[in-house]
Amino acid sequence: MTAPRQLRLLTTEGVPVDLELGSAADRVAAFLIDLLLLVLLFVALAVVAVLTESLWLAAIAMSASLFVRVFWFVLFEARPGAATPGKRRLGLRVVRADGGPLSFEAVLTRNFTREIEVFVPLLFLASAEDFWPGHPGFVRLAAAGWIVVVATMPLWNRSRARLGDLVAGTRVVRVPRALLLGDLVRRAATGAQQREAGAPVFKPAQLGIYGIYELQVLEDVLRKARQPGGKEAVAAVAQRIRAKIGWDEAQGEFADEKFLEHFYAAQRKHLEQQLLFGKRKERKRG
Amino acid sequence: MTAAPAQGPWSARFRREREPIWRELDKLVSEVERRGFGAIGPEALGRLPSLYRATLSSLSVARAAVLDRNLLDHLESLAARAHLCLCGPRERVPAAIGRYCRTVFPRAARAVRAPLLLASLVLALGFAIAFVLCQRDLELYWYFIDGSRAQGRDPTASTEELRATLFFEEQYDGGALGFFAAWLWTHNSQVTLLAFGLAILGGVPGLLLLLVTGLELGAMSALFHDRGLAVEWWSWVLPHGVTELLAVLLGTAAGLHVAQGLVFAGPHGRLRAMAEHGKRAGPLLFGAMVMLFLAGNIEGVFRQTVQVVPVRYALVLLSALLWLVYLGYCGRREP
Repeated sequence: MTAPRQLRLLTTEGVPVDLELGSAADRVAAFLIDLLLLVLLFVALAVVAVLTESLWLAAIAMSASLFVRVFWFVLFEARPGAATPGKRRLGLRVVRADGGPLSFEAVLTRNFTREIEVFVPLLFLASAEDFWPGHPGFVRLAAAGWIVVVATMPLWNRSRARLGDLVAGTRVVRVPRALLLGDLVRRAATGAQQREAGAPVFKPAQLGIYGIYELQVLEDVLRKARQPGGKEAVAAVAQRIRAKIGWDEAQGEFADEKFLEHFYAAQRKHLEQQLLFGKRKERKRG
Repeated sequence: MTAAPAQGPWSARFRREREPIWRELDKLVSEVERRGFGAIGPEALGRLPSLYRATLSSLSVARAAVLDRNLLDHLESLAARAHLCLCGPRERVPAAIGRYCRTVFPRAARAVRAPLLLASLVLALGFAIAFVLCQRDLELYWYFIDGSRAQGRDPTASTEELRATLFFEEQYDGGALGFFAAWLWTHNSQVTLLAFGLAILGGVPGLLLLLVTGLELGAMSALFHDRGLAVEWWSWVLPHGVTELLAVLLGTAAGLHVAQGLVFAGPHGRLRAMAEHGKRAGPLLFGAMVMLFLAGNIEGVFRQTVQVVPVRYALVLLSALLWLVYLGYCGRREP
């Protein structure tokens, strides 16, 4: 598994915003959900047409099979969520590749192209005689090859775009969701006030060892401290840090979690101060 | 919160000062994502842009100087969501369709003038080749038209039989005509989409499809001209043919237009040129499908019920004029 691919958009204000591109598996799943809903719809229409023996209903069902197939996608993607029911279920949506507003025209284009990517070749395979009477045999093979090539296209390019996405200048991304959790520093600070006991005090040299990467790993450990296995991780990390920075018994004895929270706060303060002076330390040395 | 937090990292204060703004934006964006812009009041809607800009500026600062990763992730995601929310489809669907009919479709059709002309020439070329050859020797007809598709319209049929294929004496049930029209529409739409798809592939396969269509039309026309049924024949073909052929030509032209972007990419690269050209393809195909719907109904219903030649020609004239004026002039003045 490689890391999820990113799509970088530039907002009107000139701030780059990164979005995670929808994975191939998610997009196939979303398409299958939509397809299932469409098939259910058509079967219902066809059953009604057969039961009532009405040619009018049969005509409507036949027209609907084409009309609904295209406009199911268009109408849902042209709404503010820019996602069909299948995409919404998988947490995906359509965006314009250059970050501009998604236009109705782009939505039309990407969905009409789907017809020639999937449905028309499929129909051709099913009833080639209708399209080309007396066609040579290799034509079916070509149609099958076309489906395979075009359907697997998102796997071949960096931005996971299918043919319709390239033609319309759109991409499918994952709708970002990141919760804002409490600030660990504040937790450390209030804890210190409550106990009114002295918090651990670190010497500048002890804060000069680790970098941003280690700080953020520590953040992760602390945020997961209440989860199963979190306590052991906290103990192990506290042990290692004490050894690395040369924590002196004379500086005080603290419980592992309290020690780490205060170390985190002090380390972050130190590194952020360095950042403000233009010194960015990515990792510890050695 | 007295002295102790103030001595904490710089980013703790940064967060305390701005958090209410992020929380409010988060709430509004979630609401819009679920239920659209109508769901939040006008006052909240007015606040949305300033909240968005404030959050973007927080994000820029945080990227440079904040090391709380959860906070950074949240700001990244919030800014992205707000951006998508403000840059999502802005138009309501009915308004978009209205604008589409007034300007987008006719303009797209005018923008693909050159590929449209090329496609028409190829169709005409096919027609001319088959027509001229079959006029010299009607036996060549079999080279152009598959026997099973001719439905009795072939050189072995008598002139009376050929005339009979152009007019319908019996009365049809409305449902049967509707079904025929629906079948024609779906079939022709798929052929047009196929033509579009083939035209994207460097253009040549799409043009071949048109050439074959032209050949078939030319051979059959030569047959009817040979039997002195020219007037009746064209009254049978043209009422729906004007609209249908124009739709197929537009579909192919749309594909050629995209292929043009792909092959002659210009200074900004292939992908961008393709997207630039592709912008017009969807609207053109949508328009072509609507035209084919009209053509299907003319072919399936009008032609089966109206047997009077002048009336059929009146429709030919009317539809040709209508498309010329609509596609040629509509939406010229709008910005």
